Amino acid sequence: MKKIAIVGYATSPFKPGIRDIHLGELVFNTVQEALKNTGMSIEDIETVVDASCDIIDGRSISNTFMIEPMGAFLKEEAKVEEDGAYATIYAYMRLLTGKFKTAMVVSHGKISESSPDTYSGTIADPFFMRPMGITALTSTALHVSTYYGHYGIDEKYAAMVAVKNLGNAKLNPRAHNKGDYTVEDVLNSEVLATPIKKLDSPPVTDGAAVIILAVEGEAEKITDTPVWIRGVGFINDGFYLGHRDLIELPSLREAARRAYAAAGIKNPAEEIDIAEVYESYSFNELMLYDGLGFCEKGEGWKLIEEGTTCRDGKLPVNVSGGALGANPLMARGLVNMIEVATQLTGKAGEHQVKKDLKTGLVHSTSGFCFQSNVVWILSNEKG
Amino acid sequence: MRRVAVVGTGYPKHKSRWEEEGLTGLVYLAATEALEDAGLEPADIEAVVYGSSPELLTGINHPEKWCSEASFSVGKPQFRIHTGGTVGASTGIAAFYFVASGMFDIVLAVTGDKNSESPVQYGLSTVYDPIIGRQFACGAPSAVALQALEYMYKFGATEEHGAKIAVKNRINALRNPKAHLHIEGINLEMVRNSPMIASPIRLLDACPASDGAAAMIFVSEEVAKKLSAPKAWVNGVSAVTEGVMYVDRDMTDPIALKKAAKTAYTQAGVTNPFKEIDVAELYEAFSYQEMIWYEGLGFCERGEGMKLIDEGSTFMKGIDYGFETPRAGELPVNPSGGVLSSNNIGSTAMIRQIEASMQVRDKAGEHQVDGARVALAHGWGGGIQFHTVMILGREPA
Amino acid sequence: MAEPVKEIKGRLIIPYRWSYGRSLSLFFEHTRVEKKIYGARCTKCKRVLVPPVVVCGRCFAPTEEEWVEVADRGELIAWTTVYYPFPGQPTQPPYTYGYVLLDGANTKFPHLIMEIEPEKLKPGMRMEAVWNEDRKGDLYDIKYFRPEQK
Ligand SMILES: [Zn+2]
Repeated sequence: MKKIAIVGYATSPFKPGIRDIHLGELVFNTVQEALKNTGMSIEDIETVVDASCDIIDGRSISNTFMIEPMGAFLKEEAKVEEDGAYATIYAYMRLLTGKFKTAMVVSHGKISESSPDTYSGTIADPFFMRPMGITALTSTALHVSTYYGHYGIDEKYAAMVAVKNLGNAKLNPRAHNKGDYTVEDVLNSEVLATPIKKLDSPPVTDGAAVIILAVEGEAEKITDTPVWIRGVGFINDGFYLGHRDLIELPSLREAARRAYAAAGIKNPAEEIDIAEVYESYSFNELMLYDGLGFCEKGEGWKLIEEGTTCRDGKLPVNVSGGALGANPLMARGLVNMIEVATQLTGKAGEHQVKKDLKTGLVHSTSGFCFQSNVVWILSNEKG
Repeated sequence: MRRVAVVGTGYPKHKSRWEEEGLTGLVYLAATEALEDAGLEPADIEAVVYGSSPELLTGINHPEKWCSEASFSVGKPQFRIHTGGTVGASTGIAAFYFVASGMFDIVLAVTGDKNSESPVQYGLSTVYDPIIGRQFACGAPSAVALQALEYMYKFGATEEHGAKIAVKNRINALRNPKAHLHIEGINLEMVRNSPMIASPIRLLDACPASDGAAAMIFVSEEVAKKLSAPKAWVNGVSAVTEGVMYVDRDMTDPIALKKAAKTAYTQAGVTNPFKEIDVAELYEAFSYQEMIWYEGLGFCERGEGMKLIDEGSTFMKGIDYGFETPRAGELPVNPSGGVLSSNNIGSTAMIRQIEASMQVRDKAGEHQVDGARVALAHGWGGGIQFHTVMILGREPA
Repeated sequence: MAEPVKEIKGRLIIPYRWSYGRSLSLFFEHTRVEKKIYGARCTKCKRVLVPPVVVCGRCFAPTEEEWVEVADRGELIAWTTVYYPFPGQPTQPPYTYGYVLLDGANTKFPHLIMEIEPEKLKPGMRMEAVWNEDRKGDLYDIKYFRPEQK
């Protein structure tokens, strides 16, 4: 199979509300920035795949007016109505066919123009979930009650994740929700839906993110520091929460298994040097450790207690601050990719992890309670 | 690039209101029909691509999640494509890439929508820019009305041309049991007397709002060889977009379509589309558009689309349309009845690909074009800006 | 057994607040305060986009460096009279709207067309903006377009 690399990227500023910039301008600025960083011109981009959401934008067929700002005019283009890490799968497959040599993935979300609860609340089906008011928050609360209850995990471990991520965010200019907090601060913060509290929860974030991919042979011409895609897995699960195994998390586990198999990873906890996962809520991060095979089942709490996933730990997770630091819906997956790519090429500046990095993991998710998951393995070595 | 074939397709009959099935049920019907047609089991599917119309129409965000079970995508790779009217075709094209990339060998592409569940033109009006344009939007009809009027004034097309297309596709639909509209006795008079909805578009120049779904199975050459089902080889694929508000835009000159057609023809080795293509399924949501697409696809020169109607070249041979069609059968367009006879939005552009593949697989029944070897499927979406072209062949290119 | 229940009724109400951004803010400031229409000139092809967008689609070049006043009148390109009603329609049919190519602009501007019977409209007909007395900084700062008064 052809080898494909990330050769360029850019993000917009991330803020709770970018009120003074039109959506098109936000996208245009970010695309221009990605091209500038890469020394490419728009003519060098052969295909564009975009990720955005009609409900967030309040614009049906949300890429209609984004074609010009994305520079997709008269190009082969398609929209994946998912997080950007899914759109990247499509771009990756397009490159694998050999039909294209370069591809750009563009994701954007100005959720401050509507609201995160509208976005997630409308995923609920009208018959069983909407009458219950199922949203990202309330579904996660149910999930936590199931998973944490099953393994008897204390909520203080989730609070420790929040402390870690909000602390990591302090060093990351791409994060806006940050600070020095203690476990007590988190536990004592306002309860939103038991057991989830304010400081366990993501902020409202507007923003856009762009990455540029190229095939082997082109990638090396574009940049001295390509970040190679070593594997990807993505898997969907069933819809109704009551029908799903919320403890075993089969779609997460299988997505990871496939990505590891493609990348030749046998022991993820040993072989992965850094990971950016889409935790959304602090509680979720421990479940992700489990599903991604970073620990034994139900033992995610040990990793945070032992400091393994802290920035100076053996397997730093969310050194960017994660979604708790900034949560641009539809763009977060690309932000995770960009963070790992930046770390693997030693370009993360103040929040660069101080150890040798070779292999990174990127996770993103879609739907309630990790219904669908995508796992990417990236490396600074072609392999 | 790996060769890819369509080995199974299915779509339930379209109608105004599917009372007995919800969205998930329709998606399930389409998927099972496609599997049966291919001679495959749900467990054979390796990955699923889901497509549907804007969620502000359906009121359901991420409908692919709700339809996970119905689309056989539990425990499998799946995501959703959404490109407006083009979405059905874009979903098929994504499934093509799933296979062509080498990542998967058997992929299900499935789409569906229930237009009866909301006021469709309200939803489609939210495609217009919310700051400048949505104020006087009337969904798809008003956007296409402007395009049609410009075309009429520029090239001298008349209401008669629109009406002839409306009659052609509705009469064709009478031979397609799955089409939504079966208007017995449809004629030019009826089109002319139907109420104006957005001038120059009359009710019978417009597509209906349907409930429906559609599914296709795309497989690698290796798998195709093992299956007994007839194949439609995907010999050319392109999806090109233009903008909405760009300088000197001419709605009668579909530049994205021209580019997509050129790309697909090159891949498929088509040099003279009018001669070499045996049958085409175009996305004529409104009658007048069919002529503009003839031109964009290079079936004729610019401004000459109406000639193909006057001469009857794009009509089916052996059918009495109530007026002269001396060159009928040269390049039949929309033997299925086209979008003018069924439109649930999500599946519509996929049904173009399904119908085109049915023609080269000899499965179109009463509306079969005899001996069709090369078929073209087209879709448009967004602000009349996304265009898809797929060339399907009885043999691989 | 009685007839089974077959559906549930619902409604989706989503409030939005769409950012104008700099160029549209400025555009509507000109319409609101001065009753003037401004476009943005592409920095590459030099053509003028009205309403202004930050990027010229054909050139992928920014537009904002140069603002140009265009006329509040121009040529009618295409129009439609809408008769079709649907729930939540922003303007009640029948009404006519179309695209006017303003003098000095290279993109067409959409708006309502009034003070003329639709049958009398012709392509290329000269049209002019009728300004609203009560202007709020949105599209209805211009009430509608009508045939140019000599
Ligand atoms: Zn320009």
